[in-house]
Amino acid sequence: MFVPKSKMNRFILLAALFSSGPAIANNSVPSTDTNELFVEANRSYDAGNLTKAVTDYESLLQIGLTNGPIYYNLGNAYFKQGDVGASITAYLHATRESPRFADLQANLKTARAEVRDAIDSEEESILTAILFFWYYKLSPSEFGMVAVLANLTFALLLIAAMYLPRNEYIPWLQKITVLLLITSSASFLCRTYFPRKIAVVQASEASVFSGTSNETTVLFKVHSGTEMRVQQSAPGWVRVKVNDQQGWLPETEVDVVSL
Amino acid sequence: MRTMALNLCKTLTFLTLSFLPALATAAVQANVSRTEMTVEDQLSYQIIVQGRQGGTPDVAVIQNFEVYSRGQSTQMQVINGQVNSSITYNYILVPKREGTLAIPEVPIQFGNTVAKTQAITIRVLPPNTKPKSEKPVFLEVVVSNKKPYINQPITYTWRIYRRVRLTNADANLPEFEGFIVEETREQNDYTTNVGGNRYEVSEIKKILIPQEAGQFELPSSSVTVDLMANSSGRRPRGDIFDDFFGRTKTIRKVLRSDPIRIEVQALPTPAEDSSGLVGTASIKSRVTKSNVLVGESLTLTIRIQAEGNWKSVKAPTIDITDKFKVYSDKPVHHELEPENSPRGIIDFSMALVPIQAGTVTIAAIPFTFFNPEKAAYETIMTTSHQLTIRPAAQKESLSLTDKTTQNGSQNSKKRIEVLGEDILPIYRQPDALDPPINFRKPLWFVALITPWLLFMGIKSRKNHLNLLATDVGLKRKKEAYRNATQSLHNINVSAPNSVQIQEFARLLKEYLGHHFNVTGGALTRSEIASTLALSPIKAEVIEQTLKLLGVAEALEYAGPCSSSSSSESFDLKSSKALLNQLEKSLQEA
Repeated sequence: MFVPKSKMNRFILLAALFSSGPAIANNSVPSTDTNELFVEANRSYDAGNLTKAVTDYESLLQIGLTNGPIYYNLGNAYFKQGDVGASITAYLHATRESPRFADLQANLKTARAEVRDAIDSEEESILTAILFFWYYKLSPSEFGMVAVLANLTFALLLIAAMYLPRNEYIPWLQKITVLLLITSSASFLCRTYFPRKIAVVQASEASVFSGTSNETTVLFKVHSGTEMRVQQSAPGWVRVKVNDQQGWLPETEVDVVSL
Repeated sequence: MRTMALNLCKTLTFLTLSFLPALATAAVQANVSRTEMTVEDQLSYQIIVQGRQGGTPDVAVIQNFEVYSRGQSTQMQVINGQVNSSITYNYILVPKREGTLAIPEVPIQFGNTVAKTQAITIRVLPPNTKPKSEKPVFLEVVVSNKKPYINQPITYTWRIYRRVRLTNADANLPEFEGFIVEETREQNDYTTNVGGNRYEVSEIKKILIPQEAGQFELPSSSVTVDLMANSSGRRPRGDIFDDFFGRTKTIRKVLRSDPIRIEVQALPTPAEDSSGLVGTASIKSRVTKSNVLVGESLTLTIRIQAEGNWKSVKAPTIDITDKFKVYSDKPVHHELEPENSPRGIIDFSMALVPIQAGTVTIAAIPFTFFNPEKAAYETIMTTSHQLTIRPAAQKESLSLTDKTTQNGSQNSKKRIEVLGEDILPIYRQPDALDPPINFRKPLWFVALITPWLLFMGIKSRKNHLNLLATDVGLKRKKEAYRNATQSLHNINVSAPNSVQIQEFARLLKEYLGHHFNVTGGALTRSEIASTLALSPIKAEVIEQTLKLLGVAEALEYAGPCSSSSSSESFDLKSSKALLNQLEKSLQEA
């Protein structure tokens, strides 16, 4: 049956409007107060008033602007204050939100060079590195956006297949879109609900115990800025693994970052 | 048995008598081996404690002497059953200075009581004034110059001469305030002849560079040694059997040098372009090529051989930047064996790239320094160099292979040197304040669901249209009401006449025919009555429909004469409502 082209275009336009609605809604202009706070924080940083800069950046985070650049600036302020642990924590938060921010990676490397403990890098298998190379290249939000767009594209491709003459491209595009949709959705869900947790030592020196009590044996000591994989949590304690050593750390000595 | 009891009594009596002195008052006495000595000598000091045990002399109170312990010995005597015991503490005392020095009362603590030795006065004379050649060991400290200029290095030489065996030598060199001290090699050992006697000499040298003008005193240095001397004198000195049979004795000696006064002179007003050298120097220069192309590099090397503070010499100034691009290299220092003072060679190299063609002369390069022997600044010059610069065959290419590569190898490239580390600046773009995406908002759920609702809607409609395209009966049924209402618009409802009533009856038949998928024009009133009777339409609606059709048939078959009365009895507005009722009933069915 013939369907006028103008009618089909109307459907596509309608679908695009539905999908772009949330994105438009999220790009609202920040309020003047927020702008002023950001500018003031940057000014304090430039003037060397780092305590004020830290307070202002923290305020921006508390009002919900949990963006990579804000965490990055906060990390810079902490680093200039000499607090390596807090700066690495902020940089890791920023990495989650802005994984491809080159300045952030450079500063994180500089901050890690200040850490006293030598940490072996976690080695992943070559197969995992090849198959999941993209896993930490996008932020969870970006995975979400990709999933929504892939969802829309797949639906539109199905609609297009109903009206367009039979051709070889649409089935392939449909398969690619489905793959993208599954991958991005799975990544979004994993990064959101099952993130890799990293404990960053905040105290200048922290003891790692064999159990969840200060009375247990001190297995080893770690220092400010050391990053450890969180394996398990218990009330007031986190079980960490670093350089093939494992033990329990008081929660007050570390900040846990979800990547 | 009786014998055993007697022996036991004897033993107990002996032990009781043995321990009685410990309970008595202690007698403490101090002895010295001599009361007059030179500052280089030592004396033996004994503290003898009689009658009590357990105390230790506190020799820390002896301030004028260096005190070395030589152990202790215990004596016990039993005379006619009377037991006398004494402990002797032995020390060696070495005077710290000349003069009348006191060995104070030395306290010894016995439980709650303190016993003290008597004080002893010792007269310490100046060192032995015998000629050095008669001494078995002596210390000598000399400086190369007692009136140097600022920055003029002087050599501080410390020598110990010996012709006896020494052990446990402990040298104590002073601090040199007001001087920069440069160490030379560790120690120089050699043999020399002093006054016909052969001495073994150990020598230590230090380079002192005065930093400010004025009077300075280099403090005395000292060395503590143990001299090995024959106790019997029967065997010649140094016989190996002496040690083996214990026939040698050691004598501790402290050798001291005199302080040395140094008068550091200020430099005259510095000459312009002074290199900072205080000493003597020679200079020469050379170029690697004298015939080069424009843009081709050559190397100019200025070699300065200097004696004095040669390490701190500044590079000579050379002003040829109007003719060459100059790329200076790091100076290379070669240290030479010092003679009177430190000396060395410094090579200042620079790559020169000619800018323009022609004959260019690199003028003689001056080098100014302060000569302490002449007490004046002196300027020496290199030779000049004449270069022929030919035009370049092509545009200037600044490939400074002379400077950056050696042997023309690319492997000699250096890695970029990291001079400092710092973090990169903060992020200032306004997009830092973009609100983060919150996927927990319902809007995102809508965004996910909407494409699929749209798809399902479109799919459903497409299926419906396909069904209509294939099922004619269904299509007629779906379009029956629409066609009927469209036709109804052409009928004047307010003033109906017979034609319009007949037209309405026709469209009603067509409507019913479409609905029941039969040709509308072929239906008679009776067929319609029977069809409607089978449908779940209300009886009154059927009755009205049949009535309407009856009126229409009467008009059609009775002719125009009856039209006026029939048309008057026909209400077309209610007939339109009848059509709606029929549609509603059929849809519900």
